Amino acid sequence: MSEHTIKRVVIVGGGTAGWMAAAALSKFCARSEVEITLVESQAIGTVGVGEATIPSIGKFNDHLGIDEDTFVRETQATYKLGIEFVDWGVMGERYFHPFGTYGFDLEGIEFHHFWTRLKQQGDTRSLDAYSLNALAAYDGKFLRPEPEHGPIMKRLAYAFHFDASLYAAFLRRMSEQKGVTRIDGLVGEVERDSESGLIHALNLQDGKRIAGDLFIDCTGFRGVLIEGVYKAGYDDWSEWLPVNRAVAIACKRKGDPEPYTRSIARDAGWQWRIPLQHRTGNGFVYCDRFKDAEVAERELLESLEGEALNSPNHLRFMTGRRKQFWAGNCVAIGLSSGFLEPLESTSIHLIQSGISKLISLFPTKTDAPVERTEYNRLMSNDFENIRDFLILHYKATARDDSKFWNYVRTMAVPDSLMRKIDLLKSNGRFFKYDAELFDLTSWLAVAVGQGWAPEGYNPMANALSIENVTGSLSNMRSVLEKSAQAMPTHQAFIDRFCKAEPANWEQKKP
Amino acid sequence: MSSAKPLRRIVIVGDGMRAAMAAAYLAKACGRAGADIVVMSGGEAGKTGQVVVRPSALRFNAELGLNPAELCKKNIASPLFAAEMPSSNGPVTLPYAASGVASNGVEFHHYWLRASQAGFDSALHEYSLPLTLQNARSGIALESAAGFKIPFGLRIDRASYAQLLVNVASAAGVRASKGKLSAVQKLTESDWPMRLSTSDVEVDADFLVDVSEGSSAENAVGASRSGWSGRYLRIDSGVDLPGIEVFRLQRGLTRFASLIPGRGNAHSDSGEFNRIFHAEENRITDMACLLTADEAEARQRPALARKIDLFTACGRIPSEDYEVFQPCEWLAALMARGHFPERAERLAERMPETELRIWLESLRRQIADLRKQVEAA
Repeated sequence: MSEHTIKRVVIVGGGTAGWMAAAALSKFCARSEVEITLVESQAIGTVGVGEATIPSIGKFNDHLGIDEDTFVRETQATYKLGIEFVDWGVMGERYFHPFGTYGFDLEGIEFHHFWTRLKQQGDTRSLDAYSLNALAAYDGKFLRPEPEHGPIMKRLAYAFHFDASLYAAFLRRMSEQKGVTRIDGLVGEVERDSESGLIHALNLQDGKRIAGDLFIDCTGFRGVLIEGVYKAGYDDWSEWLPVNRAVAIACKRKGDPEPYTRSIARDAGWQWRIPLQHRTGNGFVYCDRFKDAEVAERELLESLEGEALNSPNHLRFMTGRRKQFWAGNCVAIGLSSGFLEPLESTSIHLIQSGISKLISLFPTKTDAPVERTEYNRLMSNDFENIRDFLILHYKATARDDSKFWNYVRTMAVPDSLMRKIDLLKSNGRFFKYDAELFDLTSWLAVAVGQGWAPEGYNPMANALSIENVTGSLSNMRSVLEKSAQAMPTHQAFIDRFCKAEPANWEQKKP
Repeated sequence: MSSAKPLRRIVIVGDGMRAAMAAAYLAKACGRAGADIVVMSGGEAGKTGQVVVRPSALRFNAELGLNPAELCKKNIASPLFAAEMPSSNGPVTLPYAASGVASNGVEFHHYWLRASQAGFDSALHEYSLPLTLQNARSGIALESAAGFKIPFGLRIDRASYAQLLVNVASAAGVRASKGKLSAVQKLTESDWPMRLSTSDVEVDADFLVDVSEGSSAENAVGASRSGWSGRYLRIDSGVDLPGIEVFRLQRGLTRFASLIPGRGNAHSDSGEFNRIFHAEENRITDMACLLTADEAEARQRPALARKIDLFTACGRIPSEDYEVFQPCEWLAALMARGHFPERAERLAERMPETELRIWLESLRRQIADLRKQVEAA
């Protein structure tokens, strides 16, 4: 087959990944005479059970020109300032992983070195006292930072909790308005060029033929094209991240929604709690070597804060990533590209990252080996960097109350992670790779929160007198506390700017 | 805690500007925590002439209280908006800022490329503010340049710069010890871990920083490569490209100071230092190779080969961890060496062609007007 200029993009799968890809491509290819078709089937459910995100989602929506209040209303969203981790380091303890940063640097030395210095002098205040996000979150406060709010409020970084199926529906309306063609159907035979192996067309089970130049596989775990056609292969990371099953359910909310996700460690995994405007999303992620599905479901149901609103949805997965994200003329985005448990809410970020890289490297010809190689390299880095951060949550624990925790506590970890742990634990050093998602705040939050606080600090932090350091940190706490106190409650902010219509649960039940 | 016990004495081995940079910076960075800084100098004159300071090193100078405007006023420095690099095709000018302006998240050169391929005749340098300022016949005052808010470096008289740094170091209490290092002795039954000797004196130290142009300490210590090993840090001048010598020193010293060891074991710190130091070294060697080596040799370096391939395919310049040169410098180097993109990034197609031509014409006119103003000034 001779190489074609790309004029037709076919997206297979219409969940969150599919419609995010459609919305972004329809926006960015608007004048490129590229036709976009999305094939999905109502017969196939989507995994979306409510999603927690990280702040980069705001940029994605901004690029699409989505008004934030409209987005929040349309998706029953709430705001998210970080994640509370319960029982991870040891039973009975909790810590907060905030977005944003801790404290302020002094004399060019990072804040946490001074915090460690005071800690070694007997100060017991946690890092939370120096995080505007943590202070606001535990107070149930939120305020969208605007320029007139001043430099302290600018430090408040935020993301959202939202209903992923509503987000997909919202993006679908937007995409169709921009000319994306949606076709309902199930993929049957795939036509490929006998020489190059490139995909020509999809034959749907109802007889329709969808020809294309570039195919985006958003078919979830099945990877209908990337694996079914291209046999891209899969790197299994379950030796480090052994959870492989999840059960999810929504329940009625009790009280006002908290502006943070909660992650509670259990004896064979962990449980999430994601407050939305109309309900609370819950899920139990576990390893089936250590827990039966029935027991997991029962434990999840027993822990719900309110009445269940649907039936439990069981999922199986294998943590890891495709060996190739882009093979031939097919790019896998979303769950078809790999899976990392939602411990740090990175699923949507990885979709977004895949889309933005694809747009940047968008090929001219159907066969684009150079762009393909670069895309695969960049996505591999993304997955591996996030993987290491997730492993830290399991490795940095003192829990020895179950076989699961004994396994993860004592397992060998990748060298790349070991290097980071050594640096951080010894003297609080941290060097971020260019493409790394999680920064010093995140690594510190988890390491300190789970009992691996730096043993030492930069000796240059001794250059300031102890009185100076004590005074400076006291001022920081005071400024941050006042800023948090001045914010409205999370619920009041939503009520004022972006309250959603009550959801109709009769329509939502499967 | 062992690591919080600061180093008591750091000995710097080297001469001229190199030793002065190390002494001034480490005195500022570590002196406050009580470290005694001693320079052991062989008394060699060191290099003379001019030295290029890349924009990223200006912060280093600022931390030492060296203000670029004052350096220019004293006529020992002039602003630099691009660096002229040697290449197999003759000198190549690498600007410190990009041509044109990015639009909708797409770098300017993609628009220029798209227009060029559609028959719009213009050269990329016609949109370059840094090259316009750099090529101004009468030169440009720093105050005027600062108004354009683009990155600039400095070309400085090496000896004068060294003297200013010596003044900073002396004011911070650095001591000088004349004499060429002859031996480094590891001490086991002393409060000090090492003793450094010249023909006249012996100095006990916690740490040795070697910035000599030769290899005096390297031979004495027995280390074979630049980097941090145990209680020894060696920063050599690296590849001979304008700006690289000062860059390596500045980056090496600031990173060392951010990782400054205590008297305890710093194995993980030195490992991280070396990883980053050598990653930067690789990026610098990539650039040197692109400028001077043939295609086959360039292809032996995976990151460079990737840059060439991706740039040729779609005009993008992939970034590695710890890049030294900015994308605008890579762009100039790649094009100067005959690599041209087959196409622009697709996102550049979003701008209608008529609008694109009008925009480019307007930008080109603005730069041309500016050139006239600068030359008339």
